[in-house]
Amino acid sequence: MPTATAERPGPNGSDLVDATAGPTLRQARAPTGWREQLGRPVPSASYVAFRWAFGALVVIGQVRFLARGWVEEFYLAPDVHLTYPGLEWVRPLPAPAMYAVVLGLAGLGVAIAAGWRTRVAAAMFAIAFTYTELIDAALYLNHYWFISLAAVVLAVVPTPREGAVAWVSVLAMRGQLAVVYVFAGLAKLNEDWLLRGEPLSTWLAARTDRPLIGPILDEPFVGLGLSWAGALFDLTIVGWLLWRRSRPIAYIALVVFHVATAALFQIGMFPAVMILLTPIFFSPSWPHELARRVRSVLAVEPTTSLAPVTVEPARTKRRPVGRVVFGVFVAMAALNLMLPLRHYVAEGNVRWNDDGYLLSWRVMLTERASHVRFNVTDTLTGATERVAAETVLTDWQAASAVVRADLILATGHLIAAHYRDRLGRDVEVRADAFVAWNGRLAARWVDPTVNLAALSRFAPASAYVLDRP
Amino acid sequence: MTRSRPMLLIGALVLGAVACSDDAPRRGGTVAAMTDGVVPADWSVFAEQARALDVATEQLCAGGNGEVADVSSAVASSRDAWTYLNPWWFGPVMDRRSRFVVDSDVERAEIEELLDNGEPIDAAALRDLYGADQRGLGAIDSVLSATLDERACEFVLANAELVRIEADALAGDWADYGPMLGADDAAANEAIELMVNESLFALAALRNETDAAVADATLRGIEWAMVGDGTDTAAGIAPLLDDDVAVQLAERLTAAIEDPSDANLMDVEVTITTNVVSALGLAVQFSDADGDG
Repeated sequence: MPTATAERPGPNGSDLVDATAGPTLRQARAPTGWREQLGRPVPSASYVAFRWAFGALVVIGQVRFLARGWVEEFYLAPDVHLTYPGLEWVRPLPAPAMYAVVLGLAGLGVAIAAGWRTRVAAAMFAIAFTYTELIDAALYLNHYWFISLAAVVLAVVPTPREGAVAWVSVLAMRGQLAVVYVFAGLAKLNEDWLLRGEPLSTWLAARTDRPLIGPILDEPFVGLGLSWAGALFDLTIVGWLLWRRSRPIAYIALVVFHVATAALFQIGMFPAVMILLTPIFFSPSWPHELARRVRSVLAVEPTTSLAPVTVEPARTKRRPVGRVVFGVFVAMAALNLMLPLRHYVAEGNVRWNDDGYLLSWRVMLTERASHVRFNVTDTLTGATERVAAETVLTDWQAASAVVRADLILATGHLIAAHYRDRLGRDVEVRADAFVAWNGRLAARWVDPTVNLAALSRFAPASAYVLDRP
Repeated sequence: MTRSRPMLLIGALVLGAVACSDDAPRRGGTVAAMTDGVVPADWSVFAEQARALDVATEQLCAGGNGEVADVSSAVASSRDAWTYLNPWWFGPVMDRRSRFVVDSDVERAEIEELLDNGEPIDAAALRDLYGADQRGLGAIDSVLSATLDERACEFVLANAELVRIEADALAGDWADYGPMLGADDAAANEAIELMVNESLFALAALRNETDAAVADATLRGIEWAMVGDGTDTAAGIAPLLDDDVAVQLAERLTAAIEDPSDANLMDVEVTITTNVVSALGLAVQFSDADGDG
């Protein structure tokens, strides 16, 4: 779908191009290659606004992390961490360095917002932020993965010059956001969501204490209706935001949607991230248009900084996107498509066994309540001890570990290591795990005969998770 | 006028849908059915048992017609009433730290040390100066098994008075606190979560319980809080559960009451931590919901 500004020709065929108006029709229709198309200049205002919002969110996120004492609680306090397979070597740094990393992330957020060495700052941020997220798999959140990807995009795409920026810089950010919505929508196309209204119905029924709408939240039609509305929203919002005529209503709907989810559920900064970054779908010159409207309402004379940016075509000429940038762009596109779809080649149902859950925008699809105990068998004496995940994990780690199949395997390995240290010999660890999910009666989840300690961390879920009942 | 028609239509549809929807029980009402009257009354029963214990110890130590067996029986009755209320050990019980006053595990050696120190013993001293392992129902039991001299009687009397005072205070506090729990859905949600958690703590503690009467009272108390006992208008929190969950919970509780084996206790625990917690959204764990805190 073309952007609004791309439909507008240049002023009177002049050689001067109003950079706030986006590429001319002639430019847009010019028969050029992919790299030339991606390199064509568009006003940089929306890119700059995105950068500002992203940097601000980073700063707020890191300050919030520090203020809540999460550096200590999440990184430093646990004796052990739930690592990702193959990334067991990723460890938290000693206390002062860990605090420095978080402060450094906030500093990089400032640099990104200010546009100071944006690509370097974004690259450093992407590496450091991803490092903090890899420390403990119990900390995994979909929107943290989005932040990492968005930082990579900012590190790769061309930065603004003379009020213009390559089209690829805007397109890549739009694409990254679109991936979140579209795959979140596709993931909702399942029988629980569409036919049973689960897990929304269960969650909403527990929120009848909320003001105004609370009393109707436990009505069956509300959960089912909102499930359908949520799926339609996710699947179509990108199109509505790109279409100029529907854009204002679409953005209002987006704000209402995310504010409502923030009010009903504990989802941290995710709503703010999406509300502040989705204006990238607007016209590339939307900040200037907004400023003009505000000025006209307030009857204020334009200032230099808010005036339309007019640049000579020589300065805004097409610069084909470099091969490296183009290559990264293609690679990221492939990654963004393959990761959310990989569960189709895995055995079993991803909503039951989590095989393919990570990095795939499967947001708010499953309500699980589980009961998990580990039976530890001394291989020498044959004695079996029954322990909880809290034997090796903190409460917050255990809370995640018992509702994710991959983390049950990880916990099994940690318990085995704990007993190996204590006894000086190997033990066998088996999980006695039951789970109720999306309103179904609880069923046994993990195969109680499988020795988790002997199983590779790379083992597919089908090797230890029972078939869905 | 034309513009307002779609809004009117939507409003009418919403109102119609609400009107036609099933009349599901509200959380506030379900909790109120228990905590407005029945639970405070059960606390009053506990207070009555504690008063009876106080009287029995006075009769025993006054050298009249009191018997050790009467005191033992009164201790058991008080413990039964206290343990039956295990799912409701929150609110005033937490505020007053009552579980460390009424019936903690006791240490015989610590009690003997207290008896030997010669210091005056009364209810206030037991509450303020001594540890949880030296007071309460268990402490009375511990002394009754030995020869009851004047010093031991002083100790028993002080403990009985301590438990009576505590029980009276709890009954009074619950008379005010109980009706607040069902006042609205917010309070009810909190009450249900607390009640379910206390039930789970109690089930976990039963694994090491050797007193069959304690196990029985605990499980009957949990059964009443969860599914009712068939004799009250209140039916626990079962009205808020799907039928299959409520039936499974009732069946497993019945089995555990008949035979409180580890396997049966585990079945009850699994049903509560999975099906009940999930159905009521008590401790919603967003396994994939982007929650961060």
